Amino acid sequence: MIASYSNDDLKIANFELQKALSENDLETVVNIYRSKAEFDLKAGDEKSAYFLMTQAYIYALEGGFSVAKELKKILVLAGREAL
Amino acid sequence: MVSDLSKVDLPISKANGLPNSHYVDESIFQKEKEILLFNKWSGVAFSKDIPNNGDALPINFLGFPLLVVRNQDGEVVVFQNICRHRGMILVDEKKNIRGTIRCPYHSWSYNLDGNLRATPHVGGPGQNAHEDINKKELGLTKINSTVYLGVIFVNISGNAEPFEKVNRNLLSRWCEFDKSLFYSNTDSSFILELNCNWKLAVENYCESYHLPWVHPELNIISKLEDHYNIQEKNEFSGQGSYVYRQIEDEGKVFYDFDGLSSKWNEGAEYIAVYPNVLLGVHRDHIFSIILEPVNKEFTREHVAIYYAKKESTEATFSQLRKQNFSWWKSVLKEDIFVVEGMQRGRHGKFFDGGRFSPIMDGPTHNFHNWVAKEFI
Repeated sequence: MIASYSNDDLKIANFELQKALSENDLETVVNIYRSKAEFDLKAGDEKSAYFLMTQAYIYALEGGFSVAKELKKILVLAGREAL
Repeated sequence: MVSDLSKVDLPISKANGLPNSHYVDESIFQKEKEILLFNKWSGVAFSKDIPNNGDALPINFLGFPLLVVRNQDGEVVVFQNICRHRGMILVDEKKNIRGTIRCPYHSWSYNLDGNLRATPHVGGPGQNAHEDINKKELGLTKINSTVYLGVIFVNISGNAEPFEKVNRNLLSRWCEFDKSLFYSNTDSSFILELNCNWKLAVENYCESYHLPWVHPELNIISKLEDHYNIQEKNEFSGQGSYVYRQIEDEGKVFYDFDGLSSKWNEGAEYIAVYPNVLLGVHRDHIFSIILEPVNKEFTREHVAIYYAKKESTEATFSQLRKQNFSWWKSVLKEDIFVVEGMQRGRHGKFFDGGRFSPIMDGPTHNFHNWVAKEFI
């Protein structure tokens, strides 16, 4: 996980995200969204964090990844998703 | 255009066939789409098209968007292929889905049983639930479906009696073939394009009267007198043969279905299951044909051959399969000029639907009777 995001980091993350989406590499998509979400959460930016966590959750569901359960739990605990 | 069906329902010796309008008129085509196809059990795909759990196949059936899926339990399920949110097409091309079906528009996500699993940002950014959005009420719209002899049948309207009830006589007649079927990815399916109304392909398939002239190669091995008519009022019609001979390659033949009665040693039957599925059964293989009515004067004929035993689909039988494939493809191709010729003939405005041979045309008359009964 990246410790802090500079503008360059964001550009790189965005590039990698677009590449992963275009290649339907959902595992990477989930990891990028989750990584940035967790960073924002630590930084106290809940609005951005749960937006990005949602993105990670939806692609994890689509990919049938077991991490989807974990992401859902995080969202439910935060009152962002129904049980 | 007027559709006078009063003479269609007469006894065969007095009856006329369906009038031209049932083959060339757009408004009647649209009416038949609802009455004969959407309200009944129509064939739309083959089970071999979705062999693996998670396989999803979108189908445009006469403009109706269907999604045929093999769920994680291996069962075939069919949905209306649109999201419950904005009516967006969910799946645009055949694919395997490991997790959920995600709408490409706003990512509402459904599992393979059609249940709505997630509605991202539905309550605002990062808020994925809303009190007015009840996921349990917003699953995909399920279309009644069933699989028989490798064909996926659907009843789009949802109003038809159960498939097993509608087709009870066929299921009983062919109960010996209602078993696991095996498909090979080589030399087992093809598509023919027919410039005709779909009903002409049904009519031609279910009668043997044309065999000596259109399929002269049958005259030595399977003569007209070796065939018999099959007709069940309002259900199906077709023809049977007493002289089916297995294809051989240096004494090698395909494996048989288990437990067949002696009738099938040299017997074969070819039945048009109303509305749009044509089936053929033999001791060692079956074939299934789906007629896809594209428009009033164009039909795609999808053909799939299934074998009785897995061994027959293996590489050691590839030569024999190739022969079988070539045989059926050439026989079915021989029919194209007649169905297309009859279609062009339906533009002759003085044609009165035609008169039937009281002896030979029973199966066709039976089909016309069914159409007329449903249409009136």
